[in-house]
Amino acid sequence: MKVLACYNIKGGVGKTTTSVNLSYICANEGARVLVWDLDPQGAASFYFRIKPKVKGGVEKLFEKKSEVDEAIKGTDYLNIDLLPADFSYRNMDILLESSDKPRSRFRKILSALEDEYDYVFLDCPPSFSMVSESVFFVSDALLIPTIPTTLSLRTLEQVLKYSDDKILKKLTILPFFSMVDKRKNMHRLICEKPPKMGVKFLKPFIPYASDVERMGVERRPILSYAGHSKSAKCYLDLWQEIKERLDL
Amino acid sequence: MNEFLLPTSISKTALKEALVTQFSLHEDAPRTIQRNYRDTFDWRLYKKGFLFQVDKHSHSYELTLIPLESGRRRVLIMQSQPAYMEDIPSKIWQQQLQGVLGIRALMSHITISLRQNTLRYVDKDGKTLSRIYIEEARLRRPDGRLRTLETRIRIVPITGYGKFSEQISKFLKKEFKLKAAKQVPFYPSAKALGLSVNNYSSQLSHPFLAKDRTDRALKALLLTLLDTMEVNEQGTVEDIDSEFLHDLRVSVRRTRSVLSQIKHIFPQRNLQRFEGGFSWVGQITGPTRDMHVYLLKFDDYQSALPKKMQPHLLPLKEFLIRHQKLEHETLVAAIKSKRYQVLKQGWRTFLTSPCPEKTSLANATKPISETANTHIWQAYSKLMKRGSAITATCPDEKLHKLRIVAKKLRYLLEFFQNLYPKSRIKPLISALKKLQDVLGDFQDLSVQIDALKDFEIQMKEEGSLNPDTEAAIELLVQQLQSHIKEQRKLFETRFAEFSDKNMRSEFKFLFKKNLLNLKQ
Ligand SMILES: Nc1ncnc2c1ncn2[C@@H]1O[C@H](COP(=O)(O)OP(=O)(O)O)[C@@H](O)[C@H]1O
Ligand SMILES: [Mg+2]
Repeated sequence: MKVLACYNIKGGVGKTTTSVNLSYICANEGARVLVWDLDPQGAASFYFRIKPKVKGGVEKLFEKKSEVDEAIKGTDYLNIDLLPADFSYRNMDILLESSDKPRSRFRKILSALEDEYDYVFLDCPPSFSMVSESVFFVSDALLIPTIPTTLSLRTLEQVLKYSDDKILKKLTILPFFSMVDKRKNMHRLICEKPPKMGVKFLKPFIPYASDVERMGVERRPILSYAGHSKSAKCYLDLWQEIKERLDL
Repeated sequence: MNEFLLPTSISKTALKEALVTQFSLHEDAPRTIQRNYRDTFDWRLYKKGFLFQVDKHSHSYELTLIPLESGRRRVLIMQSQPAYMEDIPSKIWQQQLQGVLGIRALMSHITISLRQNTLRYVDKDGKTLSRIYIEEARLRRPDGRLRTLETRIRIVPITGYGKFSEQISKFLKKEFKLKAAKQVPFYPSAKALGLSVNNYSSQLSHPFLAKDRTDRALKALLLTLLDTMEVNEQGTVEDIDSEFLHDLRVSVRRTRSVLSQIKHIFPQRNLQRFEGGFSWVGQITGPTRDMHVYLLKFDDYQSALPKKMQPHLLPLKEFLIRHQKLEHETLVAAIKSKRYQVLKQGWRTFLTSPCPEKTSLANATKPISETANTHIWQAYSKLMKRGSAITATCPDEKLHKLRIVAKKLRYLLEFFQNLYPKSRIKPLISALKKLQDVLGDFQDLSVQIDALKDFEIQMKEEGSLNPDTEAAIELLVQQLQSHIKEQRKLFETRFAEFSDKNMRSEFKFLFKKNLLNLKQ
């Protein structure tokens, strides 16, 4: 089971959009996929038309495997299940902090699902916390959507610094450009020549496009309503390169 | 999953109306589906606990791997019908099927035409909470006729929303008194077609009674071999995968081996034309088999070359495919020929005719166990004598001859294995197999070298050999030549293992001692 996290400290950069679309592509290749909507705001759950609700909240979830199984919902799509968001996730930090081994506690939830899924996508909330630390710990890769602006690159630097931790050796960092507007000079310049930061950007980038934006109205992955669009193609290319980089 | 059978007394329309009135359902456009249950000829997936269902929709194929016991299904949509594991464009599926299918192709065992109505239980957000499928099915018989199966209603729950499916099931049970259908439609279909799963194995395991008369016992064995030959004809003609022809040829070789090794059982005048006939079958099937072998080896050949050179070998593959097709056409014509049919009919008539009570043939009425012991012991002694005579410097030819001696012994052990305790005969067979593997590889390598050189010449004549390809083949030949030397060294070790003291006494005990006991 591979765990891929869509992460950025910043909000509104395309994390959820990426989680939803990549999980759809991955599932279409015959893999069994779970999306865990970790953001209490529940955007991923919204796209899958599933109520952002876990009975008993995050505390129950951490209790035992059967509670996790209880909470999982099948989506309308082949091979994709969702572990929905819940308002109580905003307390996940506190809950983890109070545990003596927060990371292992978090990992246990995923280990329980090892036999059932081939891929887990973690749609992360935009923060820097015990939750993100645990996410780094359990993930095989961090997919970091980054808007090509100087400010965004600085946040990316912060993430890199943090994730450079020794325990995170197996974590592959995969930043890529998101919401790219080629009419903007700065976007173009940065995309064409990404700054040297010790990580390799994924080559395909996601353009700023109205058919991606439409996902909010459609409440579906873009490939299910605009499968032949340019944006859909970008997500397919992105996934292809992710697989190559991770040797999947 | 809840599955029901719809009795003919209830119409589909009535059922649908009742459901729509009761629940908030959305109806999708009806679909026509060609459903295939596919597996290898010898049901490898089934034996591993899976049903493999392929639904052909108008533009795509929906593949489902269904665990027979429990566990999650795997589903994959693809644009073409997969025949081999490599055709499935998913690493995860390939990992799952690795080692199960081997080189066998997936073929359709059962074909069902489905007309499917789908009703979805949808909430106010447009999320589907349960799916109801009404499936009218017609089973396609081998003669093309259709047989109507019972209409099924499948209520497929969605993880986390099980209670909605429960409500629907409860309603159907109460309102229409529907009976639950226990099995997936695979089973009733298989039954209707008279298909028996698990009925084919290329392993020979013929039951004998020790005191059976040799002529009768051998006729029964030969009949089994003839059946195996025939079972593999269709797949050979259709060229579904290379194993059909392989198994057919093995049966022919085993048949010939019985005829040539065990003498004075049947009247010689009867046998001659069959011996000649089966030798002919061996010949006509050889060229296609050769092409299969080299096509199967092609990937290994290619990866043995440096990366840059690998694409240069492709013309060889094209050559092989072209010639495989041509040879196969000749083969099909031969299998359909009168000569082949007459041979088989004559053989079957001979094998099914009763053996005369009294006969002057020296070995015909001996108990089969004595025949087995005698021939196995003879073949074993020969192998030991010839094997010990092999030295580091003797010509390759000696090893090739030894391979044939070993093979004869192997056939005998396999024919008669059920006459001996399994725990004692199996280790002997596997030890012999190890020895055969080196001998086989050794022989195989020199055959391959010759064949590759031949292909090179043929390709040149056909004008399909460019200098890059020539260089690639040359390099390949060099590599094979160096392997040959390694194999020869390995022979000594293997033969020493095979002739170790325990082995010798085991052979002696099982075959020679028994023989003496019988004679007394
Ligand atoms: N490539 C894009 N083009 C246009 N709009 C996008 C694109 N990616 C995301 N959006 C929109 O931007 C908003 C934030 O995206 P989202 O994926 O939810 O970000 P995050 O999860 O990082 O907060 C959403 O309304 C989404 O529809
Ligand atoms: Mg988000």
